[in-house]
Amino acid sequence: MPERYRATSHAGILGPYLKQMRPFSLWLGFGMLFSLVTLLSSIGMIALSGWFLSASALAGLSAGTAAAFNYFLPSAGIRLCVLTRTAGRYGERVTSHEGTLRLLSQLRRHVYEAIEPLSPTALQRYGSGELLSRLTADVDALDSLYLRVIAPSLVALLAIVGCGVVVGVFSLGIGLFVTSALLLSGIVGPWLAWRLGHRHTARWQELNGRLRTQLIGRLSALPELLLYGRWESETDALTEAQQQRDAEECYAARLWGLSQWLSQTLLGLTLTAALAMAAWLASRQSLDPTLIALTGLAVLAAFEAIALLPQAWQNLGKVRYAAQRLEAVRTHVPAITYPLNDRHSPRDASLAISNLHAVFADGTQALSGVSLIMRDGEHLALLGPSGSGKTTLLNALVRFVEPQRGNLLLGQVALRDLSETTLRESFAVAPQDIHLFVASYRENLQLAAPEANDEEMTDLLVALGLGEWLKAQPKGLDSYPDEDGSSLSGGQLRRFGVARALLSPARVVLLDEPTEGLDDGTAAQVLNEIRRYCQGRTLLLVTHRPAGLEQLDRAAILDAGRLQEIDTPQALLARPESRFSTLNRRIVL
Amino acid sequence: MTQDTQTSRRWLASQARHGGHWPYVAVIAGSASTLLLFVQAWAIASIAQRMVMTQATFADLLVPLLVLPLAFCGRGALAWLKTEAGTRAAVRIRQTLRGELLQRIGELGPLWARRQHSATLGNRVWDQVDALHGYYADYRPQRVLCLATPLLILLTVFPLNWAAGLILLVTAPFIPLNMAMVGIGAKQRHQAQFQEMSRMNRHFLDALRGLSTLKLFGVSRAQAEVVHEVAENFRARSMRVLRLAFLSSTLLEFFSSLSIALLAIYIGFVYLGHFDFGTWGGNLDLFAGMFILVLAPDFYQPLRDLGAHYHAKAEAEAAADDLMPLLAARPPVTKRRHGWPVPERLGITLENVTCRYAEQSAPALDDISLTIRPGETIGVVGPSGAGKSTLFNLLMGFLPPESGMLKTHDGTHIDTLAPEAWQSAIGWLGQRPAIVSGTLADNLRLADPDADDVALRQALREVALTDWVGALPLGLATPLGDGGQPVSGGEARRIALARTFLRRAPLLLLDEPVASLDRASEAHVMRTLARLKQERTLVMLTHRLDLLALADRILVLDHGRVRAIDTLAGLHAAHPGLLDAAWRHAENSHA
Repeated sequence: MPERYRATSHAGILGPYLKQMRPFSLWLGFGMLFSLVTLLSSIGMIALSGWFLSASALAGLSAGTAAAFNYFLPSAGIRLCVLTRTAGRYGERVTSHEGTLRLLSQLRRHVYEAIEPLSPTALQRYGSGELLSRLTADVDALDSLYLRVIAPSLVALLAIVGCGVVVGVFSLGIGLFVTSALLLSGIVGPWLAWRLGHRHTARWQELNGRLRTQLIGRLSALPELLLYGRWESETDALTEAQQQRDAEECYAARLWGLSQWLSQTLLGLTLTAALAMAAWLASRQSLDPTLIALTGLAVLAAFEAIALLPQAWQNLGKVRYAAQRLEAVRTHVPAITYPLNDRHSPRDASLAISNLHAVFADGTQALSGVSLIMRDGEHLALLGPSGSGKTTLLNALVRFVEPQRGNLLLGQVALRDLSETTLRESFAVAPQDIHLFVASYRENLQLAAPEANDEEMTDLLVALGLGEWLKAQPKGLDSYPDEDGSSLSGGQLRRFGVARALLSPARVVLLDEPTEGLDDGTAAQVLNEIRRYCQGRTLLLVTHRPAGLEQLDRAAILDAGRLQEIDTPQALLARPESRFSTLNRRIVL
Repeated sequence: MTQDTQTSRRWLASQARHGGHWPYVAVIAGSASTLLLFVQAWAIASIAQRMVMTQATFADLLVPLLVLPLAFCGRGALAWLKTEAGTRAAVRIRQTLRGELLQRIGELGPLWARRQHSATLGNRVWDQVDALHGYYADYRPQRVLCLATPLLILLTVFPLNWAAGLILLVTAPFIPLNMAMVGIGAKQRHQAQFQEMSRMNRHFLDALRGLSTLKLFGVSRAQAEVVHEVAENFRARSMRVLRLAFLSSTLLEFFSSLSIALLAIYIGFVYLGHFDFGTWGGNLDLFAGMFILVLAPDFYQPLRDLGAHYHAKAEAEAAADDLMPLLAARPPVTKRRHGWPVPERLGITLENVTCRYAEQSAPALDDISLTIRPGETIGVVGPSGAGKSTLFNLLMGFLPPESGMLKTHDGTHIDTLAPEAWQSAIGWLGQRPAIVSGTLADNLRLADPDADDVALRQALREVALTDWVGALPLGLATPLGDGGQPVSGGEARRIALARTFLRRAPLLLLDEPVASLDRASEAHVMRTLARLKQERTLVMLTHRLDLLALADRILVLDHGRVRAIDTLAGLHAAHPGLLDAAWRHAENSHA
């Protein structure tokens, strides 16, 4: 979990996102320009109308002045404002949406690129899938930074100045007053809203995220909760906790209500003062009285620019929280770096592990001095109880885990000297948790071998005992898995993962518990096929069931982070006291 | 308008009742605000009239200058009230709906929930319910105000000047027209965009979740481009739609500007004597003209606000489409007994039971008849897909039988019992036991909320977790689950096994109880099971001979049917091929 909301500077944490906007500044700039045109047209239209009414009413008092009154210019001005306001609005909507959607694409890539180099095992430990789905929502929150905060604030500033200029042309004093009063309301409102609100909106985010995680956790424990009669009490607890979050929401609404009241009151005072000043000047003959209405209506229209600002600033806490969460992931999860190019090329597909020390993701010791040499093309089974460090060893080989000490060599070249491309091309891996992408089964398999054709894929699936399953799929390889791959049973999913790894042309194959969840018959069949497909390739097979391993070149037993014994299966079986023999006697059916 | 839109609208409207009186407060506050607008217009128009036309002194302006800020202050207060009332209404509605959804999920059961995928379900219960907020907080009150405010303004303007009223009235039909325009296709459009958006989000999420797989196959770096490309495609498709969609809001902007311009020009021309209609035969003074002009922008304002809330409506309708089937999916409600005393010992008889999973043609259990005697231990074997897990789902009441019946040993029909009553007789260890976020003690107390620490420690001892707990920094209070102490598969299974000990249930269903355990723990658990078997009815799914040796009888399932049920020895005698492998290994180990 990311730590609590910190009150560090907004600029610091949001800075990188402001930078992201730069490539789109043209779009965003045009958006603001159009928005300004719209606002100024509104101000111009209503102020001009107010003046036109007053002046024509005054001129209409006598027939002579009425006839001499030039109504052409003001009415043309009003009509012009109608057109610019309409066009401005359309332009603003199109350009600002274009700009923000482009920004959104960029932000997504940015977030992905920020997460991509992080150690996958550490990432998983850090907060699993739920964190990632929140990150997705965060990207959307970040884009409102421009759309709702930055652009409207800048436009409001310019519109207020514009309004001040319109009024100031006729009376400098009133113009200055109006500008400063509107600026004051434009600053005080949002500032107060941000000041009082940002902690609460951030807290809302925090509670919301926590509750959402809690809900999804409870949903996945639904069978247990129902069976143990706890679903109702769990949902009651959730509903109660939800009220805390909703209280924050009500607070935000109250704050937004308060800012509306405050800004309306300030507007009332500004307008009244501007009207009073204009009337005072008019009564002393130093201002044309027809300009009184113009002043008042201009202030009224300019207010539209600042009306919605407090709400946007209040929500800044949400935006910042999102940025902080991403930052927290990046700082807490170590990244793994690779050289750009291979320092040396591996000579063959042999593996040499010497004196390897590594820790589990939770910091406890996983491997303490493991040494193991596999020659090119050798098939080796690595056995051991759960928690003995087998998976960590595999993770160290694919550099998901950085060892504390020791050397890992592939074809006599240190893994650390290999570029990521070479490393990935060298290893074909089927981990314990097989992720199926929301894509067809074909695409999921082709991930390993883009060139693989349907026949190869089908043959392999049939060989691994998935033929019947494939036949039952409505569209064969073109079918889509359910999310989480739940249309495959646990054992089937494993075998699908094995198929994916075996399709890959890599010279070293690493399989983590490929036969878990299978009955003995199927397990033996799968093992045979694995061996057949791995002819000429180096195979490291991690398992805790020894049945059928007699066919492999060697077997090793790992326990408590140390290699306990390693030899040919026959030799190990010949020694009745060996752990391999004991294991082999115990596992049945 | 499609049938669907109608139903989702009706549904949304019907849920508004959960908001209590708050929705009305919001509408009343909004309407009262229009009345204060008249005061504002009066004050501004009076000042103009008095200063321009009657050359009044500054003192004559005192009343309008005092009333004006008060009117603004009042409108601000009403806006505040409207905002709070709307939010409260929406919060109440969401809380009620979420409660109903959670209850419904409990009624529909885990098999149904698994079909929905827990993240999708979570998204519905959480995000989709929240998506209703804007609709109830803003859109619905605003829709009423869209009619009330223009009507109030028209009623005030007409007596003053019919031509001005007519200008407003003529543009007024554009209000419903505009509402329709905004509405036509907008839902489909919005829904299409909504779907695109969630598809894009799903893709992004999928890429992040599958990051280690992408890495293993060396395509993770290149995926950044794909992520960008998918988002850019989304942008291109959205903009194509939006460029058209914005035309309708632009049209609204145009009409509201046009009516103000027409009003100003008309009134000006009346003053100048070019026009002499619309005044009901009287005079139109500057006051009346200015009054009308100040009101004009607010004639259209509610509709512009409605447009701003339109996305809330579309979002809510999309959410409603998702939520309605969930709330409508009612499991058959029959009168069932709650007060069933859980017997000390429990046996079950299945008579010709057939079970089928939803949307599957082949039955998962096909005409099974079987008697499990009280206190008996049954081992269940069979290839994967034979119906072993289905048998558990059936016994736990998660999967109702399609035909046939289940009875307890004393003849009670299980389908006459309330599910909670029946389930209280069962303890269960599943294939992938759930660890809920909470402390270790919380996780154990799922099975018995009243268990004290002594009982918890005892249960942990039974499953050989004492050393593990001892090594935990906070012992029983150690947080597990997301972000807490990581729990390996083997540990999770043992915690789940410990739960079944805490649960004093006469029937235990265990799925591979010693899977992924090390040898010492395995032996320990095995001894515990042997003791447990003395006092309870045990059904175990297992492939292991040493566990099968504990069983009184062994049930061999194949393709959903009973292939054999007999003692281990009987089975071996009758079906020599069946357990060959098992015997071979067993003899090896005795050799």
